Amino acid sequence: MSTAKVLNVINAPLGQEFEQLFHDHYPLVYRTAYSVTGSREDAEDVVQTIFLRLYRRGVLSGVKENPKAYLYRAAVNAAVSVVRSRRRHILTNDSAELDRPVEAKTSNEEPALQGQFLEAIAQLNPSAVEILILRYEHNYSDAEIAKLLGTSRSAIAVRLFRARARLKKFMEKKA
Amino acid sequence: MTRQGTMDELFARLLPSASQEQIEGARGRVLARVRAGAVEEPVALPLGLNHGDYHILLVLSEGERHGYAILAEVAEVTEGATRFGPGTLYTSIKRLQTAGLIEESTNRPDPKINDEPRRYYRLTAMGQKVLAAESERLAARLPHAHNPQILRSI
Repeated sequence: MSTAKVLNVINAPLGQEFEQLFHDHYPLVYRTAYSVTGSREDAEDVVQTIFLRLYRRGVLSGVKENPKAYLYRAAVNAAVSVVRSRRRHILTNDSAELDRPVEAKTSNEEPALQGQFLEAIAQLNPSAVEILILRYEHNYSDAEIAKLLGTSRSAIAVRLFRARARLKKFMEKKA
Repeated sequence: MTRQGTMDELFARLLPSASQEQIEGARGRVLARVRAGAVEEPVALPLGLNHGDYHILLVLSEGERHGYAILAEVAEVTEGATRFGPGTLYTSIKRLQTAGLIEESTNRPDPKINDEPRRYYRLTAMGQKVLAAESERLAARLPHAHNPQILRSI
């Protein structure tokens, strides 16, 4: 390999394949991260984190089969842990800040209640959050959810039912 | 809050939803951050990238190869100094695959040559970075090789 070739490798951009992957899936990933975190800043951090992780691992490693499912799951996981660590952080610093509102959906929505709702969601198992966000934010049908996550429709229906029930319990505990 | 309908309503009311403008507004900024992060990303050299591994990466930087072609080219480039037995080659390939530096390719460069189930390999993005970093490292050490004291001792 010539010196010129080595230099070409060093100066290589992210790679067409990687950038294509970014553009194809960015909206899904961002929308997901924003729904779970309720914060633009956190949503951007999540997107950056998971694409960088993908880059580090090598785009083609094992992700090739279903990059959409991989990225969606990664987004949910990263976003959930942001919300969880947010709570830990606040608890160790200033518990009065606990009900600090996330960005309200509209000006007259109850920001504190929204914060509680997101915290309750983040307490669920991430695999339950995956289904809830696909249903309620991305408006996927049970069949579409099943297809993306590689499972059956009936399994999704059951898990959706359980996730709702558990979420309800969390919310009632807070109330 | 006892029925599904109430939960649906709660989601509709409380789940934050990004607008199209918001999503597109952040796209360029986030991509720039990913690009910058990728450049700064310190390439963690997988421990134990040995001489033979380096030569495999080097050969694959020229394009996809199957195992035997790698073996032959490494021997050729190093004028026979680095030789793999079939066993050691596949051990190295496995290790590089596990480290995410190379991967199996499903493409066949020449569809006519499908006479045997040959496995083709190629570099991953990470493999390219590692190869570049290792090449830089070696280049930086090259001046020491010209050290007159070392040369005289031959």
